[in-house]
Amino acid sequence: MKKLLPLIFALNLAILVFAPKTIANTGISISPPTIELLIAPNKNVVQNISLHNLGEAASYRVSLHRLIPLGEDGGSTIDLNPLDPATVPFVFTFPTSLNLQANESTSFTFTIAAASTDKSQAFSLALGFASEQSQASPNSTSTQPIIVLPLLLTLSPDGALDLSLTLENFELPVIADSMLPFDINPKVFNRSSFMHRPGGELVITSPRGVKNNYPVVPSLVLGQTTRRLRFDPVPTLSPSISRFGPHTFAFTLTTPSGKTILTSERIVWFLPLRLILAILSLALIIFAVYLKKSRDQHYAH
Amino acid sequence: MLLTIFLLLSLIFARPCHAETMYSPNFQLRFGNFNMTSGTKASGSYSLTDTVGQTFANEFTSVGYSTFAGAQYAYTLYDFGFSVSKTSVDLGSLIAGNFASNSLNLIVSAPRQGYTITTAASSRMKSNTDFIANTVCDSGCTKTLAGAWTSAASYGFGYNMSGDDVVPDFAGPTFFRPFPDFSVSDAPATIMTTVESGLLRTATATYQVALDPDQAVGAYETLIYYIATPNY
Repeated sequence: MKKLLPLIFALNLAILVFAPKTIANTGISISPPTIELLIAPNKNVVQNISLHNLGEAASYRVSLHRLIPLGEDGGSTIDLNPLDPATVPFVFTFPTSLNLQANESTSFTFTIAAASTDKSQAFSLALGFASEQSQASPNSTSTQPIIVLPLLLTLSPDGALDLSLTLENFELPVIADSMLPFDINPKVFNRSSFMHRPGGELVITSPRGVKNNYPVVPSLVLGQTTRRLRFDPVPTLSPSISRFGPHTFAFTLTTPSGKTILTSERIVWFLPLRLILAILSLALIIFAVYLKKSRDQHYAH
Repeated sequence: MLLTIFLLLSLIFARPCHAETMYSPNFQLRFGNFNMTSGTKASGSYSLTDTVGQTFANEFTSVGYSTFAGAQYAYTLYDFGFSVSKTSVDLGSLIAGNFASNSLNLIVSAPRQGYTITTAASSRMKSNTDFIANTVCDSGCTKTLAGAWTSAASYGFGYNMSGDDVVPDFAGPTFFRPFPDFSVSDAPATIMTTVESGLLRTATATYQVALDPDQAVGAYETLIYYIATPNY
C-alpha cells in the first residue's frame, strides 16, 4: 500500500493540474446599453463604455457584428460571424480583449469615425463582449455568454432623412361588448430605410366628452421593420357596464419635435351585449312559459 | 322588438371599419436629447452623454452628430447585465436508454424596454468521429418550437427553459428543443424575452441527452452561445 501512495499522490496532482478550467458565474454589465447616433461624414465621435464584472475573473473578446432585428418589440440578436470592417463606411476603434477581475469595473474608449459620403445610410451593428470559453470536459458543453451593445448608426451629410411611417393593426370593431376587456395594439411600419423614433398619443373620448390621453412611449423603428407601439399608461379598457355609446379613438403619430406624421380615428360603439343577450334570453323563456300556460288554459276550456 | 332585432343583427354582421390613414411623405431632422446622468465625458467636443437639454436640428448641423430624441430612455434605471451560473455543463456518463441531464442559470438585468436572449450551439455534440443527433422529441419539435420529450427511446440532445420571461412554447419541464446549429448557419433562437425592464430576471436552461445504443463510444462536447441584447 505504501508503494502505491506516491502513485496516488501523482495521480491527484495530475487531475488538479489538468482538470478542465470551469468558471462559475460569468457575466458583465454594460453602460450605455445602446448607442444610437446620427453622424455626418468625416466626423469622429468618442464614447466611453463602462463595464462591471458580475462574476469571477474572466477575459472577454470584443468584436463587431451585424445586428439582426427579431419580432416587433425591439428585440434583436447578432450574426455570430464577426463583421468585416471593410463592409461599412466607418472606422471603429476599441480594445479587442479585456481582462476583468472579480467585481472589477473598468471602461474603455470607443471611437466611431465616419467615412466621406454624399448619401445617407443606416446601419444596425453591434459590439459583442464574449467571455473566453472554458475548456470542456468529456460529455459536457461549454457555455459562452455574449453581451451585446447595439450600435444603431445613421450616416448622413445633411440629416435630411426620408420619413415614411404607416399605422397598422388599428382596425377596431364597430361594436364592442362593454362587459369584456378592450385592448388596442397598434403598430408602426417604417417604409423608409432609415430608423426613426416617433412619439404620439392615443386619445379616447367618451360620448360625454371625457378625454383619456395615452402617450406613446417613443420607440425606435428600424428601416423596413414593424414596431408594436407601447403606451404609458396602457390603454386597456376594463369591463364596465357604464361604458355605453360611441367612443372615439383618435391616434396621432408625431416626430420628436411634435410635428404630426399621421392621424387616424375610429369610432367604437360600446354596448353591454352580454347583458342584453341575457335579458333577451330571459324574456324569451318567460314568453315561452306564458305561451305554454295560455295554450294549456285554452285546451283546458 | 325592432331594437332587439337591430342589436342582434348588428352583433352578427359587425365588421371592422377601415378608416383612411392620413400619411404625409416628408423628411425630418432627428433631435438629440442628451442625458448627463450616465455620462462620462471622453472628448470636449464629441461626448455623446453630456446633457444640454432638448436640443434641435442645428445641433447636428453645427457639430456633426446627434443622438435620437427619446434616447434618454436608454439611460434610465440600471445598466444592462447578463451572467451565467457556470461555463461548463457536465452531462456525466452517457448510457444508452437513459436520460442524462444538467442545467445552468441565466441571469439578466435590463433597463428601458426589456431584453432578448437567444441561443445557438457551435455544432451538434460531437466527438472526434461522430455526432449526437439533435432531438426530435417524442413526436416532433424544432429549433424554434419545443415539444414534449419523455421517452429515452427518442435519441438526441436538446434543452428546456424555465423561469422568468421564457418563451411560451416551453410549456413545462418535459418540453425541449434542439439547439440551432451555427456550423450550418442556423440563426440563434429566442429563449427569453420581455418588453419590460427588470432586475435579476432568472431562467434555468436544462440540457438533456439520450443516446442511441448504436452511438459510437467517445467523449462528446459542444459550445453553447447565449446572446443577450437589450431591446432598442
